[in-house]
Parts: sequence; C-alpha cells; structure tokens
Amino acid sequence: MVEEKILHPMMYTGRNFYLLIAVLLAAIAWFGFAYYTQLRYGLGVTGMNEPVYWGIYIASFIFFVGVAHGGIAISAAVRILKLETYRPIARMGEVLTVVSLILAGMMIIFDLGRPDRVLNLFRFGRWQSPLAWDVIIISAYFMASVTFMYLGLREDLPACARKFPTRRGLYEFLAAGYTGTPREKEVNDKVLWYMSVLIVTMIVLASGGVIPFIFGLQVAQPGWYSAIMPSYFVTGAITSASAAVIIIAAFMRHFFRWEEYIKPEIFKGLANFLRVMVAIYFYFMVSEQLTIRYAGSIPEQVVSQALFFGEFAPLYWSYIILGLFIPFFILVIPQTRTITGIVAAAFLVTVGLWAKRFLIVVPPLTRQLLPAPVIDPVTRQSFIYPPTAIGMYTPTWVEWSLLLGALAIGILLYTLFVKLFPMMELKVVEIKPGAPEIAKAVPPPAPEEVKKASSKCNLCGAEFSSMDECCEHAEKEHKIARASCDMCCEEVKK
Amino acid sequence: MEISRRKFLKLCGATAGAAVLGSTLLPTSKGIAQGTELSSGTKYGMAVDLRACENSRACDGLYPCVHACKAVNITPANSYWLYVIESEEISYAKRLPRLCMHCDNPPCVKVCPVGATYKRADGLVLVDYQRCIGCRLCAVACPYGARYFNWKWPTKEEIEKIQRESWEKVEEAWKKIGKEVPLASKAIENPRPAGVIEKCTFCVHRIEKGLKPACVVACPAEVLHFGDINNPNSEISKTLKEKKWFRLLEEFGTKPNVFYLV
Repeated sequence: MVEEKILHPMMYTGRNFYLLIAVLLAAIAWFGFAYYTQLRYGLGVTGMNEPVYWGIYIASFIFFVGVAHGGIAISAAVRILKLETYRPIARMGEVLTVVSLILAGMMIIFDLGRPDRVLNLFRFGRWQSPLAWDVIIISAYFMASVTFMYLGLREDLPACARKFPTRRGLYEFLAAGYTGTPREKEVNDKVLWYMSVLIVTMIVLASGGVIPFIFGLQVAQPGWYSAIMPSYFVTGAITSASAAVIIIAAFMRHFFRWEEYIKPEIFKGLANFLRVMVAIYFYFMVSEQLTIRYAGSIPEQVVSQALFFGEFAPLYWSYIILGLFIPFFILVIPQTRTITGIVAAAFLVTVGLWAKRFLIVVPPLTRQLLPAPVIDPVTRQSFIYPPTAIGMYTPTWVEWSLLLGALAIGILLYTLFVKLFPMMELKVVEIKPGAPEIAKAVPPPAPEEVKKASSKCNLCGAEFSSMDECCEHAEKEHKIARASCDMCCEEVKK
Repeated sequence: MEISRRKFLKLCGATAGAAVLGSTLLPTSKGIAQGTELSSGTKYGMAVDLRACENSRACDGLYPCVHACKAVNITPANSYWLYVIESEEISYAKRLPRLCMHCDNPPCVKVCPVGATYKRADGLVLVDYQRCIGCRLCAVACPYGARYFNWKWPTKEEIEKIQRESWEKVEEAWKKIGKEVPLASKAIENPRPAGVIEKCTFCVHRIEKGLKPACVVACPAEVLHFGDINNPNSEISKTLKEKKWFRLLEEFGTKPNVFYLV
C-alpha cells in the first residue's frame, strides 16, 4: 500500500519516541513547578518591573501569533491557487498554526497578573481597547484554523478507520458520518475553499490589523508609536512562519523518510519566498529607523540610540547579521542553497525573529518620558534618588522555564498529532504521478529506456541517464555545487 | 442526524441572539457610563507650586509628601504613587512632584480591555481592583509612568515596616520646622490585592470624608493645592487665574488636571 508510507508514523513507534515523550514530560513537570512559583508569589518572581511592564511573555506572544500565520497561509494558498506541489506540507502547516495559537494564548495567560479573572475579558470586554480586539480575533482565528484543519483531516478519516481497527471508534466519531463518497468529498472541498478565503483574510486582520495596534497606538511609548507597525508585524509574522514551516517539513522528511513526497522543489520555492520576505523585513527596519533618526523626536531618538549603541546593541546588531544578512545570503547563493542550507537559514530567521520581537517590546519600555525611580534588577530594591529615565530588565529563570515549558507542550501536542493522524493528506499519493503503486502496475520498463531519461536538469531541461551525470552537467553548466545538485536535478520515473 | 440546514441555521441564529441579549443583562462597565457626564459639577484638580517646592529646605532628602502617601495608602516597597523627580534631565524645575494627573482624556482608561480603570464624574481616574486582570496595558499607555503594579502580596511585616519608616520621615521633616504633623497616620483599610494595577487616587477615601489628600496635608511648604477646579470661587481656581502655569506632557492630548505653577 502506498498509504503505508504516509501512515508509517501512526503504525510503528520506536524507542526514540518514548525517549522524546519522557524528555518532554520532564520539561513540562519543571514548567509546572515554575508556574506554581509564579502563581504562588505573583509576577514579582519575573524580571518585569517598573517601568518595564512587559517582557519575554509578550515578545513570545507576538512571535507565536506570527508563526501561526504561515502554516495555514500555505495550506490556504494550496487550496485557493491549487498549488499541488505544496500539498504534502499543507497539513504540517495547519497543525503548526493550531499549536502555536495555543502557545500564544498561554503566553497571554502567563502575563496576566490575575489569570483567575481572564473571563472578565468576555464579561466586561470593551471595544475601545486594542487588547480586547486581540482576544476576539485570536479566538476567532483559533476556531477558524481548528475547523479548517478538521475539514481537511476529515477526508482522510474513513481510510484511517479502515486501516486501524483498534482506533476505529475514535476516527468514526471524528468523521461525524463522513464516509468519503464523491458527493461528500465535493461538498467538503467546497467548504474548505471558502474557509481558505476566510483564513487568508483573517491573517491580515489578526497580524496586520490587531496585534500591532497594542503597540502602534501607545503615544506614551516612543519607538512603538508609529504607523509602520501593522505592515511591519505582518511581514515579520509571515517571515517567521515560512521559516518555521521549512524547519518542520525538513524534520518530517528526515525522520519519516518522506523524500519522495516532500520534494526539493518545495524547499526551493519556500526558500525563494523566505529570502524575499527577509529583504522586505529589512526594508521596514531601515525605514523605521531612518524616520526616527532623520527627524524623530528626542524620546524616539533615545530609544533608537539604545538599540544602536546602548545595552541592546549587541542583540540588535547580532540580529541584523545573524537573523537577516547571513540567512539572506545563504538563500541567495546557489552553492549554499541546499536543503541543509535552507533549513539552517530558516532556523536563524526563526530564532532571530524571536529576538526581534524582544527588541520591539522591551527597549521602548526602558526609556521613559519622565525620570522615575527604577528597580535594581539585582537587589530588587528601587533607588529613589537620583531618579532616572532608564529602566532595566533581565528575564528570570521562571520566565525562561515557562517559555521552554510552553514549547515542550507545543512539541508534545505536535508529536501526539503525528501519532494519531496522518501528517500528509492521503490525496498526495492519489494525485502523484509516478507514485510507487502506479509504478508497480506498469511492467518494469526496458533498461535502455531508463538510460534515455532517468534524470532531468530543471534549469535547461536536458535529460541524463543518471543523477551523477546530471550533477556533473549542473556543476559545469550552471555552476551549482555537487552538494546542492538536488536543487536542479530531478529523477524522472517512468 | 435529522437536522436540516435551515433548522441548523435557525438554531445558530437563535443562539447568537440569546448570547447578545444575555450579554446586555451582565453588569456593564460603570466607569464609562459615569465618565460621559463630565465637566459639570465638581472636578478635582491639583496645583503644584514649583518655586515653593524648590525652596523648602525642610524636605531635603525626606520628602514628607512621598512618604505620607506611602504610609496612608500602604503602597508596596517599590511603588511611589507620588514622588519628587529631582533630576538633571529636567531643565525647568529642580524638584518636580509627579502623581497621577487624573487626565480628562486618560490614555489608561481608553486602553483598558475590561473597563477596570475608569473616570468618575468628579474627575477622578480610579481602578476597580476587583475587576482588573493585571495586563498592564494601562501602565504602558500612561506617559507619566504614574501607574504601578502589585507584583506580589506584601507580608504583614513588610506593610508595617513601610508604614513605620515612611512615617518617621514625615515626622522628621516637620520637626525641622518645629511643628507637629497635621495628619493622623490613619491608613486605608484595604490594601489592594496582588496582581492588579494601582495608582494615586487623590486619596479618594479621604476626599469622600471631606478631607484633603494626604500629600497635600503633609507638605510643610504649602506646595500642593487641592480643590474643585470647576468652582470659580475655590482656592485652587483663584490661584490658577492669578498665576502662570503649565501642565506636564500636555502635547500627548491627555488634558491633565494637575497644574504646575511657575
């Protein structure tokens, strides 16, 4: 069965899986302890203080909301534009979206001084507050993406029920009467198409229309108060999200030997997209800082100075070099644009964008308009005189534990999903020309025929008898290193 | 399942309708409703005489107003609802007392997602400690940095220590000018719970008893003038008519109600 390769992770469980689960559970136990500490003693156990009221919880919140966008954007694009090439990674993206939205919600709860009153947001919610809109749009986005993921998954559930009689009840319950008749499939696909349009709209609303307004509307915080925030945030969101999808797709491809489904073209396409997004993000950073530095008000310039030469300079410049320039050049230079290179670049971009979110949230808070007594992060005592306009912030072990614990929860959820549901739409094997099953049905071709064309150069269309020959040709003609020859040479199966 | 599409949609509509109706029955945000009746009647404000403040030698290093505020309101160790900026970064005043401006267009009220911070008809901007969820968006929105967060529950010893030490400083300052402190060291009954935002209330518990805020009374140099700025016959209105004044960070459109006399 062809399906078997896709369903493999659901059928066989190795020792490494249990090892991973054990590590994750240990991390979650530690997280439980850290969160208990925070609930017991209050937010005083974090590094947040006056005037740095927000720290890595809010930075991570923006980060996770951002990551949430990409996965489902790819999936929605696959459906709207019928991009069949990217279908194998569609579901991975959907699950990534759902999981990171859960993490984003957790980050907000961690940040609240009174998490027990979180329902007040619904009881007394005010339309005038950007934060209330946040709650509305994130909840709506979560509902929409869960529904979207479910509808896609539903088409595969009857097959799962056939395949796994022991879990039949679960799959049949989830399928809710769906049996996979052509008529049902047609209706389901139609709904999915409309959902895709809805979700693409919501991405712009959520990341470009609501989250940035928590920051962009605060006149009291020079460095935030700017009309650039919405477009800046939406670019950052899509950048981090496409990077995260690249990482996850590469992991899956490697662990489950899905090389034949997740083809190099997918990585190539995502890499092209990512490098454009990185460039656009850099452009936004330049225009933001140029506006501030050319003729900005003094408080704005003070914030900018803190980024360029102050205590945030090491992080800021390392972000620009490691998070923007190096990934950009890895993705541009053909010799480094191998799958390994692309994944490394995506990793740098993802981590870098977390750091960038930190650099968006914290520096403006440390520079106050009026001098004020600030808290010494070491002694936890405030010194009234002389007051200063410079606040300080160092995240404590509680904050790092909660962040890493939340990540562990996210990975656990993802892993369990991998074990329970097919991570690729079963459609992938149905539509793929040259899938192993079809190959089996056709009598094996004569050896001469294979020699005629078993490998093809994607750049000029020339055909070769083996991958080796094609790689040689690529090295000579297109100056593509041997290591990255899979970027342009493709095996042709006939 | 025997539910037709039409029936299902009807059911959805009915549920949504019930939800909307139900939400109107829930208590609404009281501050917003009251805030709309502003500008007639009483409006509390404060005038700060910067020259008198500068010249008060009794206050050097003691700041009785700051510590009277701490003792009366039992603020946590690192919170200063009122404090005196004495910084070279400020060019126009050697000493600048900073407290909540009780703005007419308060950015903190605007951004609160649950209506926990609200503007009262008498001009006070207050916090409903029972409703606040502790998101600190208001603290971020305030240009004056006047809002403080209750990071943790203070212990009984801590509270007593803060009160004792603060009170000693108030007494010392008054001793310098050879007078008794004209303020009974009466603290408020209920300090705020942990995890919520708190800030200067113009000592609302004292105002409601007809008293002046603690800082005003504890000031040995008559720097702070408190009163109804809507009443043309009040002391503060007359002072504001006679003297030149400015308001802090007025350019942010907050319309503050604390006036600095120069």
